[in-house]
Amino acid sequence: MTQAAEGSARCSLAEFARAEQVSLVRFAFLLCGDRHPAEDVVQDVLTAMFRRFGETLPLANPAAYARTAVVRANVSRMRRRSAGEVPRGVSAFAERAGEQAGAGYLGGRQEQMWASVCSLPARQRAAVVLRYYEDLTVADVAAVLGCPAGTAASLVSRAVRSLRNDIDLVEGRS
Amino acid sequence: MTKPDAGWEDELRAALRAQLHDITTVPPWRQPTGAGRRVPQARWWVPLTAAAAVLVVVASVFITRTTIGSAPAHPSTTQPAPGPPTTATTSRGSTVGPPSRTASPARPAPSSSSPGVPVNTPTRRGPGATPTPSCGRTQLTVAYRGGGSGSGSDFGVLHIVNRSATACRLREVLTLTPLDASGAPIAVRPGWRSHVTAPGLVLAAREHLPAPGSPSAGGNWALLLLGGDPSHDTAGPDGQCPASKVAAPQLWRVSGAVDATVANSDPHAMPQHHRLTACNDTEGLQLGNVVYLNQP
Repeated sequence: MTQAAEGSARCSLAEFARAEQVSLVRFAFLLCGDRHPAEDVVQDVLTAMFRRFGETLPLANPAAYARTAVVRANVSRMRRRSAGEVPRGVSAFAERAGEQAGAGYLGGRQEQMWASVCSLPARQRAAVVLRYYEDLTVADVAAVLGCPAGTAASLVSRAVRSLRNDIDLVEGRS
Repeated sequence: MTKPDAGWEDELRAALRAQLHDITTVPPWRQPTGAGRRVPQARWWVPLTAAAAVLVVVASVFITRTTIGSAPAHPSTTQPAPGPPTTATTSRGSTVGPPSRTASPARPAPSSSSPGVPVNTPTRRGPGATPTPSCGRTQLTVAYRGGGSGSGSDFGVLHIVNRSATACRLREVLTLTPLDASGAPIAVRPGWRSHVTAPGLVLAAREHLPAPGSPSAGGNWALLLLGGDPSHDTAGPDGQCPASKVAAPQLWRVSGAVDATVANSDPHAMPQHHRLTACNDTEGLQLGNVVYLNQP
């Protein structure tokens, strides 16, 4: 998925919003870990698209454009730290995961993974979400993040290594 | 790049998707109303720029006015019609009470309510303005112009003008002394305030005294308002001043910033206002405190 050149296709922004808003909010949720900020980010992105393009989008792939904008808006939001989300360290993550395991929490491993994803830096987290939720190739991840493919591959690699270390830590394999 | 096994990747995908099961609906995005394409964003710098521009304009006006005020030019103040300062009053208490500004013949406000008195308001020197030298005694000339009467009091005005070639600033204290025909000072009631501090007026160069009969029209001068109470006698049985006690100084001596003696006479004024009169009772001459008309 690459950002399409403008002017190659046209669709209505309102129609695009109706069709893609839920998936964009889900994508944003995975990036920021909270639903309300995710909705805010998507609202801001759609409004920004309206400001830039008007009611008709001259984009071949507006979804890719919107996801790129969501990633960048979320990175900006994380930098501002206005949302109050505090990334958890490994110790806190392990403590919480251990409590859940001790309580017989059925979804423990998935929750552990999600908690570990939430502890990743913003760009690594975006790379993981794009790679494993959106199922993009490394090249497309690089296109969305606006970085070289090697950088995207490095982001994904370091994120995965961190996730596995966290899981191994919790499961006592380290 | 780490190569996670397929099972681990699927597990990660499932973990991510598991977080999204309750996100099925979201508040619909609504197109901004009242704006078309490229809605202008909030420009925070617009009010700041406007405020800065206003400040610059105000500062420019202030500096300009200060510079003009320091130059020998006529002030753009009210140009009254000839006539007495009818709004000034001298109350009975003012002539016998302790010296205070409120107990003296009131200073007419520099507005349309005080016709007949031009007002050279004090100027304040702003940054960058050229300092105006203080007035020397030889630069100034004094003249008496009959005022009028009101509320039982007489009024007169001393005009102080700068006839030299350069503008100057009147800074020092001015002291007024009533003199009799022999040049001796006349006793004045206790508490009479005979002096005033010059409020830093800038007097334009080569100014002329007001023409007789047109006492105060359109000049650039300092004005001292004099008042007298010819009606009341502090020791009289009925408080009325008998005609035998009504007196008029022959001369006014102005000392301090100016050293001049002028006659208490203005033949061009209305007959009853040729001279300033006051009751010369047991306390002394019932004069009102001297005040500047130019004070702000």
